[in-house]
Amino acid sequence: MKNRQFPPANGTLRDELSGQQPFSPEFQMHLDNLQRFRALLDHANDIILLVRLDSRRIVDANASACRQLRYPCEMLVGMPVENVVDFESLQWPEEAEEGAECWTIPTQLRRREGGLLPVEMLLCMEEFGDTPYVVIVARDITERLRAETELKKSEWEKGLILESTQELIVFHDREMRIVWANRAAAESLHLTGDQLKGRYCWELWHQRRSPCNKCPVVRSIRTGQPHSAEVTSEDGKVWLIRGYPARNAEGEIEGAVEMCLDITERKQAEEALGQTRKQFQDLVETINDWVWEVDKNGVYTYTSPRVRDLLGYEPEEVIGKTPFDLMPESEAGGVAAFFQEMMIKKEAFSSLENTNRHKNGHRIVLETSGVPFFDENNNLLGYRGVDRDVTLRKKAEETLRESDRMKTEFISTAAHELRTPLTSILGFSQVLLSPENLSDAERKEFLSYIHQQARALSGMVADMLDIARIESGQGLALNRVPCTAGELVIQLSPFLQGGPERSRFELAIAAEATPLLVDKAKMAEVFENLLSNAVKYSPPGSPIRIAGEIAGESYRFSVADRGIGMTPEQVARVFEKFYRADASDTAVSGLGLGMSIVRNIVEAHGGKIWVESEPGRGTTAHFLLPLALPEASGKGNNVEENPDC
Amino acid sequence: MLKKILIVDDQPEVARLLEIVLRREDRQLFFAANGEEGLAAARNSCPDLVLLDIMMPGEVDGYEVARRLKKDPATAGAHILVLTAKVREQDRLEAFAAGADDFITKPFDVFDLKTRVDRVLG
Repeated sequence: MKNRQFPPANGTLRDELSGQQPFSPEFQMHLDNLQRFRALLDHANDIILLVRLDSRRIVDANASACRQLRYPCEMLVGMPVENVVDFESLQWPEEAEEGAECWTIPTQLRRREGGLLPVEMLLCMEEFGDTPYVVIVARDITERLRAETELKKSEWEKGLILESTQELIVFHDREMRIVWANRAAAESLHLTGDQLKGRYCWELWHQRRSPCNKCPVVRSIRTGQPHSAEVTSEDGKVWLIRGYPARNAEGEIEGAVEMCLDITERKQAEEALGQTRKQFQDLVETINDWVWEVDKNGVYTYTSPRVRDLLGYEPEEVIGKTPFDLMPESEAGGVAAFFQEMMIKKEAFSSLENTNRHKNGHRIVLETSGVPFFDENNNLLGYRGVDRDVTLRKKAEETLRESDRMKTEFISTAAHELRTPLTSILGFSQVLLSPENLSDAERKEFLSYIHQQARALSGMVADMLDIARIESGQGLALNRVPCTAGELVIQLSPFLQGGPERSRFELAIAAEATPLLVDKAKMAEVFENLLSNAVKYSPPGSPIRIAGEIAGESYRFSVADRGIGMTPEQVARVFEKFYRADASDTAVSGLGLGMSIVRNIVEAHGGKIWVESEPGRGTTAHFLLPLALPEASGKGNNVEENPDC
Repeated sequence: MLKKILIVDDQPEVARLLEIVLRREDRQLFFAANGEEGLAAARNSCPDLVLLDIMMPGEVDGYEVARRLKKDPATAGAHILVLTAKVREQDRLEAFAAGADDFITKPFDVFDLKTRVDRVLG
């Protein structure tokens, strides 16, 4: 501070200092003291001003005062103190001590450029000589004020958060006593925060005398880790309770913060959503149709498990594929083009029939319906829809059409077949009734034709009635009697030996005495049908073999011809009613009912019938009849003795 | 002069009925039980009249027999009377298209048949 020109304290001192004569040692000591004192003042951070009370002017100021008030020191000294201190607005302490000479007052000092400096000002009355002075020591409290303001603001914000949240927030000490609770917590009990202090949460909220089982707050104090739990209170509300350990500066657990949120509505909403989802999922997964979703590229993003039943794929195998991956190539192109068109038009479609390939390779006809779905900007996201397996329906439709066709054909065939015997009956009877001269032999011959053809006609009518009865579910009325395998063949004698075809039949009946329990007339019908088919479908004179043998629990008959035979397709349908293996060959007569009736008769006996055939090689019809058990016949073992047979 | 009638029908009793109805001193009857036999018999006998069934066993049905008879100059002159249980209009049209001269459905009136045959043969 040597380069500084210190303002002199008073006129006397200035006079003495300006003198050239050497100072007395005493004076020199005073001077040194004064300079040291000056340096101390100037080094102080506080503003120090000395004001004459009478003139109210600043008579001395330290370096901090000049610097902080932004005045050159020579300007500050001599200035009216009012330029710096606004005495008018000073808030003097109300309870000033009696006779006190110093006051501490927070105020603002005015800087040279007009700015204000917040300070804590110490004001003391002094007298030097007889002159009264005021000593002002002011400390800049800008920083302190800012820090205080910020702290206040931060506290206020924190308080605001804690107090305005819906969440119940409670601070517990290590013994779980409530230290502090926020507004929400207090209000939940209709109490104030202070009333909660020192109490226990379990007694306040749960009317218990001890902590709740698995209380997350207790656990967080014990473990030092956060814990949470969902708790349903008495009133049915669901709470999400979380406990956080609270540690002091040394890291020791001081207590725990409990945060408790009413999640009743959220839980209900979640539950409701879950219910709705479950409801739809149940519906989607229960219906027999396959429900799916594809994205805008046609890639499956969802499929119900029903795809397993329809196409044999697991849902996860289908996700990522397109519908066209599941179709035969021939089908995929057309359906893909159709789907592309729908995508562009963003249109729904329904009942699109398409052929798909089952995982096992066979074809499945599906009927597809779908609706587009969009994002909020109406951009197409994909399609959702259902697929129905219509394979069976298609087949049924086909079968129905086929059966309709066969019925029509049957009627025309039947009409034709009935005309044939009628031609003879009407023709010969007309001849017999005419006045023409006929020999007795001729008359007898013609009558026999009439009789024969009438019988044939009657047989056809019987067939039709049989079928009608079977169709209506009445079944065949069997009149079973015990007899032997041999006897069934013997009763065919009139048929086998009567006609011009007799030389064709070969018999090979083993174990003729095998006991059977059958309706003999119906069995004759079976044989006659099989034999007349054999005759019909084989060239004249070619052998027809009738064989019989025991086959396990059954007796097996077979009728084999060396005729035109049938293709496997024809064999498969031979037992269908109205089916005639070669419908185009209308010369082969028959209603197409015979084999259907034959099967019904055999099955009514508990037997089984099947046909083996090869085109050009001939046909063999086999049928099994169960062997008669002694007790079933009711007439003992020896059926040979039975007079009925 | 002896008139020749060929009867082509696979059912013997029908053939017999026709024989009874049509037999006369001045007529000679021939019989065939299917199409092939019918064609062979026609070639051999050169009939004036053929009574022709349509549905018969074998490869050659009545329509085909009629067509071939009309094509063969040796038999083209024969009067063909189709006698069939086929009764639909289209069967009748097909028969005439194949060359039939007359068409009678089974069952038939024996006197009607007799009259028609007499008219053809005189």
